[in-house]
Amino acid sequence: MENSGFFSFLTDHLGQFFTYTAFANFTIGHIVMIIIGLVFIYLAIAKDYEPMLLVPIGFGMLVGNVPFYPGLKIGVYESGSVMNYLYFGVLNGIYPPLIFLGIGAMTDFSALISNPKLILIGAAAQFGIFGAYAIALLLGFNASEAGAIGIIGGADGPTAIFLSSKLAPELMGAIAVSAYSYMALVPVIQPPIMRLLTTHKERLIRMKPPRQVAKLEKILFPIVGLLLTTFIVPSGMPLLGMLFFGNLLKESGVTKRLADTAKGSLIDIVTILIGLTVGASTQATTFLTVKSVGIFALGAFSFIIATTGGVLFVKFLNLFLKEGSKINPLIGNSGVSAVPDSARVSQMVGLEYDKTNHLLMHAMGPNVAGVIGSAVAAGILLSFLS
Amino acid sequence: MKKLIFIVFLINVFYFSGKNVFCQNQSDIRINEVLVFNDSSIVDEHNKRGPWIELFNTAYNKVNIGECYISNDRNNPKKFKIIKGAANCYIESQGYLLFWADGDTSKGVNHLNFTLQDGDFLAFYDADENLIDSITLQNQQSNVSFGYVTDGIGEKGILKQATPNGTNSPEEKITSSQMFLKLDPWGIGMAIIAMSVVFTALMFLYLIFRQIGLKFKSDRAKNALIKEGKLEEASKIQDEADGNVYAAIGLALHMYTSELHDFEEAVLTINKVSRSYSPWSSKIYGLRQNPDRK
Repeated sequence: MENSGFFSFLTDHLGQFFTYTAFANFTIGHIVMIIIGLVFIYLAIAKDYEPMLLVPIGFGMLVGNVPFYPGLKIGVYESGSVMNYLYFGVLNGIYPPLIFLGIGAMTDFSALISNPKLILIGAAAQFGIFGAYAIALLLGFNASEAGAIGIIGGADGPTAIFLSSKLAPELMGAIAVSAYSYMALVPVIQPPIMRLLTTHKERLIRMKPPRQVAKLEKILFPIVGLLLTTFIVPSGMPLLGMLFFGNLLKESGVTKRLADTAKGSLIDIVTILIGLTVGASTQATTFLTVKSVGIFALGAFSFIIATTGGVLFVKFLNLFLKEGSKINPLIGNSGVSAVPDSARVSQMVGLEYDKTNHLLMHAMGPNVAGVIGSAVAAGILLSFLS
Repeated sequence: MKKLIFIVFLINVFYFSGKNVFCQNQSDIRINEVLVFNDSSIVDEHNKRGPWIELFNTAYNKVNIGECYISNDRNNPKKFKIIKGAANCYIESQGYLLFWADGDTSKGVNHLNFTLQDGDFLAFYDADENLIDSITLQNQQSNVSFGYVTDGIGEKGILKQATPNGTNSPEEKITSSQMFLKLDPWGIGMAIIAMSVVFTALMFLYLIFRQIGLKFKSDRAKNALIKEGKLEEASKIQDEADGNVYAAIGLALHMYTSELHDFEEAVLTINKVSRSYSPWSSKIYGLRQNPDRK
C-alpha cells in the first residue's frame, strides 16, 4: 500500500514537473522563432553579417523562446524576472543613448568636417524614414506605429529601439530585429539600386582627397553640432547629446580614459544587454503577428527609399557643382547610417568600375552625417507623435 | 563697443525668448479643482464628506510640495503648511493630490486646518511663500466643482462634473498622433515638415563648418606667412596629402601587419638581474601620482 502511494507520489510529481518543462508548453511559434534565432547566429558566425549584433540578438531569440510555464518570473515580459529588469533599459530608452555615447567616442568626423557638403547627403537619405511612414499609414498602421516603423529607414539600431520604445513599445521587438537584419543586408540591398540609378561616367567620378582637419575643428564639431541640432530638435537630445558628448571625449584629447571606456567596455556591455533583451523580446506569443510581417516588408522598402534618396540627391547636387568638385553618386547610399557597412558598399561598388578610385574616406562623411540625420528625424517624429 | 552691443543684444534675446521657459518645480502646481459643498461626492478615509481641494502637477517630473502652504486667508499665506517628508508631499508627473478642507488636521496629513465657504479665497504658496496659484470661490453650488476647465491651464470655471483625482476634461482626449493622422492621412505633410527640419539642421551645420573649414585651410596660413615675408616658415607648412601619400601609408601599414609573426628565430638567454631594485617594492607603482602640471 505504502509502495503504491510512493509510486503515485513519484508519477504525480514527475507529471507535475513535466507541465513545467518547455516540452509541455511549446508551440509552433516558439519553434519558428528558435529557427530564426539560429539563422541569425549562423549568418553572424558563418557569413560575418553584423556579428556583434546578430549573435546577441539571435541568442536572445533562443532565450526568449524557450517555452515556460507562466508565473514563474522567467520571461522577459514577466515583471520581477531578471530578463524583465534587463529589458527595463530597452523599454525606457536607456541603452540606446549609451550606445550613442560609445559611437560618438569611436567616430571620426574628419571626413565630414573636411567636406561639409557631404552632411546634406546624410539628410537626403532620411527620405527612407518618411517614405516608410507614408506606406505604413497606407497599410493601416496608426501614426505612432507608422513613425516607429519608419525609423527603420534610418538604418540605425539604437535610434530605432529608442523611438519605438517611446511610440510603439509593443512593436519594438519586430522593429529592432527588422532594422538590424536589414543593416546586415546592406551589402545585398544597396548595390543594385546604386547601379540602376547611376551612369558609367558618374561611377568613375574622382573626388578631391579630403584635406587635413585641425584639432580645433574636431573639438568644435561636437559642441556646435549639439547646440545646432538640439536647439532645432530638442527631443533628439538623448541621442544627439550622447553622440556629441562621446565625440568630445575623443577629440578633446584630455579625457582619453573616458573615451576609451565609452567606446570599449561601456558600449560592449550595453550592446550585450540590448542585443540579448531585444532578442528575448521576440517571444513567439507576442512577436509572431501579421503586423511583424508588415514591419519586415516596410523595413525593406525604407532601406530602398533611403538609398534611392541618397544617390539621387548626389546627382541633384552635381548639377550645381563645377567639374572637378563633383561628388561620386556611389557615395549617396552611405547617407543611410548603417556605419560603416554602407560606406563599405560605396567603396566596394566604386572599385568594381575603377580599381584605383577609393571612395571609402569620402563615403564615411555622409555615413556619419546619416547618424546625426536619423537622430534628428527620430526627434522630430517623437515631438510630433508622442 | 560693437562687441558690447552684441552681447547686450544676445542677453536680451535670451531674456525675452526665455520668458516662456518651463521650470519643473513647485511653481508647476495648480489648484485644479475645488468642491465646497460636498453632499454626494467622494468620502474621505473616515467615510466623511467634506470640501476638497485637488492639486495638479503640470510638470513632467515628480514635484515635492513639502513645506508649501495652502491658505484661505490673503493675509496669512502660512495658514496650512504641508508637512515635509509626509507621504502626501509628492505629486507625480501630471498627477493629482487631494486635500480635505474639513478643519480637522487630526484626521491625517491631507486634512487642512480650515474649511471652505462660498466666496472664499484659496491660494497655494511655495516654500518661500511666493503665490503660485489662487482661486476665488464665488456662487458655489452643491456637488458642483470649480476649477480649471482643462487640467492646470487656461480658463477657470464651473466644471461639468466633479472629478476628484481625475482629469477635469474627461472627454476622450485626441492624442497628437491621432490629430496628425487626421490632418495628414497620407504622411505627405509629415515628410515635408520633417525633411525640411532635417535639412535645415544639417544645412546650418554645413554652413558653419564650411566657414570654419575655410578659416582653417592650411593654404591660408601659408599665404599669410608669405605675405609677411616669412618664406622659409611658409615652405615648412605641408600641402594637403594627395592620394599617393595615403596609398603609401596604407601599403606600409599592410606590409607591417602582414609581416608580423609570432615565431622569432632567436636564442633566448636568461641572465640574472644583478640590481637589488625591484618594481614590486617601488612606491611609484603603488601610489597615485600627482597630476603633471606642464
